[in-house]
Amino acid sequence: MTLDTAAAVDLVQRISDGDTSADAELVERCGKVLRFLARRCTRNEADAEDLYQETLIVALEKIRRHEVREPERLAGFLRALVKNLSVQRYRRRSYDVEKPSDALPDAPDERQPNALGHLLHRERSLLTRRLLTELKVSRDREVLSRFYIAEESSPRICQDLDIEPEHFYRVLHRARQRYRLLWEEHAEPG
Amino acid sequence: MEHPRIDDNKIIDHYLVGQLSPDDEAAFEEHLFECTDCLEKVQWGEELRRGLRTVATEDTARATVALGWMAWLRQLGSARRAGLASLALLVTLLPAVVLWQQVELAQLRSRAAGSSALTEPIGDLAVLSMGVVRDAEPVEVRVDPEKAAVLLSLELPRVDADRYRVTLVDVDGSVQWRGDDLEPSLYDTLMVILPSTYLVPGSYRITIEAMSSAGASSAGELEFRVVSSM
Ligand SMILES: [Zn+2]
Repeated sequence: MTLDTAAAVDLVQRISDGDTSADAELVERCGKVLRFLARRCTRNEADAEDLYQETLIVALEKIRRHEVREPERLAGFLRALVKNLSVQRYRRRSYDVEKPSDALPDAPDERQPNALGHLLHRERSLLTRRLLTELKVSRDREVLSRFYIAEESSPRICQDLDIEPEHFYRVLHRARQRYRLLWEEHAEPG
Repeated sequence: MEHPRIDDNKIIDHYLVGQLSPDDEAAFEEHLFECTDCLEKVQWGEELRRGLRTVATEDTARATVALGWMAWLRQLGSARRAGLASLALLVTLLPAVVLWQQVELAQLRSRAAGSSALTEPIGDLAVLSMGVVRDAEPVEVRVDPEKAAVLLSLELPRVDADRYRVTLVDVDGSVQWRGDDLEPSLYDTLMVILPSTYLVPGSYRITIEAMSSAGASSAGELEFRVVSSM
């Protein structure tokens, strides 16, 4: 389920009216994107989950208080909200770090990834290595590392490696597809 | 944002590495709310990007450990120990070193035939990338003696073994350093970190041997001359 304009207007109306089934529908329609955006804004899975939860809570509060002026632009509102909350969290954290250490002596360091984080990290490494091993042409590995790691521009990479842009984007596209397949095979062995 | 534009401009690829304008980024992210297809593509792309970064970081850390980081620290005289605290900071710089190294290797490859080398200081580390090219003239490399360490990145012409032995020999033929059991990175390079005191001005030869159950076989050789950059 996604969020088109009609659904957005309807959702904002129902949430404002106190229809609790609309709250769940918001999560169903927007949860995946909000989780993804939250992960883009944070350093680890645990922080991303916190930011995601906070975004949902604040979004529902604001909609109930009729603070969404353009219901048809709900997607833009949610996107801006997750970014703003992420900046606020970052500022709060910078402030927390500067506080004297006796303020919260036993508070867990939430910057540490949780068990899920460790698991993902290990599997991510394993599957990426498998993908890279499968790439027979070392130039293709170089395309991936220069684009995704060194973040060089595509024209520069194509020029250096003497490849056509079409080939360049095909390498990226195939790698993404193969990576997904490896994860899916990994998740459901046999 | 509409699909023809997303496809024609490779919006997903450029989004993943943050190469969209703020307006395009916002428009694309809003599009994700109404398009499962783009969301899935971008999620897998992001996952792949994270995976590649994880591997790059791990490879560097492993190279450092494999090369006996602690072993050579112990070999250093106490006079240099004062500088070692700052050297410890290097560990945090290592991912950057790998990224830099990839870029440099690419530049090396794009050059004409013949061996070539580049040096570049990063923090307390001088990075020296060399390709193993047959019958090449010795290259001249500048090493700043003020740098605590040199990272030699040796690009292999091909990888046909899991383990390599690297030997550094000076002009008199005496072995300056030897590393057994070196594992090539996924980018077909061997990484060796040496204290810069091992590379005083002079001529050197590096031999690389592929190790297998049958023993060692030559995998390449390169000669270079170190000059002080001071
Ligand atoms: Zn789409």
